[in-house]
This record gives sequence, structure tokens and C-alpha cells, in this order.
Amino acid sequence: MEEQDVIRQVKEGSEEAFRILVDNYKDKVYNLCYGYLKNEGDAEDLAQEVFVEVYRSIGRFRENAGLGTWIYRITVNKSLETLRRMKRQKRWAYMYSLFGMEDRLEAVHKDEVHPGVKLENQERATLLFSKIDDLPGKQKTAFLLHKIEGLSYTEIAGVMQTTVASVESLIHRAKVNLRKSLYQYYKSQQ
Amino acid sequence: MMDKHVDEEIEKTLESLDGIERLQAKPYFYTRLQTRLDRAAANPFHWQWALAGMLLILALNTVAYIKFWPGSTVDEYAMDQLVVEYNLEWPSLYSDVDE
Repeated sequence: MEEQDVIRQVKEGSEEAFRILVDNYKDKVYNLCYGYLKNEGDAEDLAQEVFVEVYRSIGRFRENAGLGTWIYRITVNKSLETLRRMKRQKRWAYMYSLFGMEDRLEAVHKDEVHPGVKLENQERATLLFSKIDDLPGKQKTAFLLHKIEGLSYTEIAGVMQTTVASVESLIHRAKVNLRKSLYQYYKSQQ
Repeated sequence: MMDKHVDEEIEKTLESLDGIERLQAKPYFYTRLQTRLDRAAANPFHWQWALAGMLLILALNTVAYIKFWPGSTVDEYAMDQLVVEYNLEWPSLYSDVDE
């Protein structure tokens, strides 16, 4: 079924068309969610949330944007929202620990080693991911869409609703910041 | 020499994501999503109720503001009567000294 037919049928309420849409995009959405959250359970939960949002707001989707671009945009927004919520939870976790309420800490997110990274690179990749976490939201998004999703600068510009020049600048600044932060890390290890 | 070593480490770390394998969603993703959608449909968020609640709180606050703002008229005689009747007079800080 052509993508435009899928969109039209989902808008008309077809469950079969929605299943096709989910099958076409679930891996991309999950992969990007994992890039942001680095935890299987959280990434699965977020990917489902993305498709719930797609289901609810498909009526407002304008087809000139491209379905993939639109779904990536929802994924990015939801991921950044989730990261902000997790930061708040971490602050609360500190408060819980102060008041001896450690049982509440179970729900707090834990980073995992990315299963897609080669074994010999896992230690370095985990370090790099922790530094990516510290990047500002836009730099992080441009960097992850490029490195994890393998999108071109033009595609990233579409998702982030900006120009290709801005994407180039964001990725350049992300790399400069990562270098600085890794430099400090390795210096402190000497 | 030291910095050269650090630079090499940085480059290797930055390259550690090269060739990263794409991850796939777990099996039965759609089934779990369907359950979630069914649950959401069974318990929809009624924004009308939330809005009504907010408007009620706003209305109560407005009434309280109009009624109890210092500028509003208060029956001072009735207030004095109440203070005497229930012995509500607050002792002066200097009451011991005054006595």
C-alpha cells in the first residue's frame, strides 16, 4: 500500500492501515528513542507514546511535510520532554534518599550499554553517550539524528524545521563541545 | 606527548559510534501498543472537567478577594463585640511593662 493511501486510511479510522504505519516506522522510532534514553524499557514505553500521539493527531498531519519527518519530529519532542521529566525525577530521588525513602528510587531510569555498539567500543561509546547527554537539546538532537539514525543534513533540517546551514552549525558545535568535555575527562584521568 | 595521547583517545571515543547497529523494536510491539490505545480510549482525559475545575477555583478566589480585601467594608461594631465575647484580645507586647 502506498504511503499516501496509508495516511488517508488511518485518517478514516482504519486499524489495518495504522498497523502498517506502525510496522513501517516502529524500528526507526524505537532506535531513536533508545539513542536518547539508553534503556530498553524506557525506549519501548516512549516509542509507544509516540505512536499514541501519531494516532491522535494524524488528522492534523499535512502531507507536504512527509510522514517520516513528521513522526521523527514527534519522537524528538517526546524524547526531550521525557529527558526533562527524568531530570526532575533525579532531583526528587536525591530528596527521597535524604529522607530514607529509597524504595521510591526503583522507578528512576538507569543507562544501559547500547546493544548496537561493537563489543570493543562499548566502554568508549558509553562515555560518549554520557557526554552527549550534557549537550544542549538542539545539538543533541542534530547529533543523534545524524549518528544514530544516519539522516542526512537535509533530512535533519526537515525534522528540526530549520535550515541545512543551521544543522551544520549545530553538529559542528556539538562536536566541539564533545571534544572539550572528553578532553577534561581524559585530563582528569591522567 | 601527553596531549597527543589525549587527542588520540578523544578521536577514538568520537569514532566509537561509527558503524553502530540499528536497534529493532521488540516483538509484539503492535499488540502492546493496541492495549495501550484501548486503555487510553477507556479512560479519556476530559479537559472540559479540568477547565470547569479551574474556573471554579478562579471564581472562589475572586469572591474571596472581593469579600475580604482590606478596602472592603467591615462591620467594626460587630467585630468588637465578637472580640469581647470570645476574649480574643491579643495581649500587648508591653502589657507586663504597662501594668
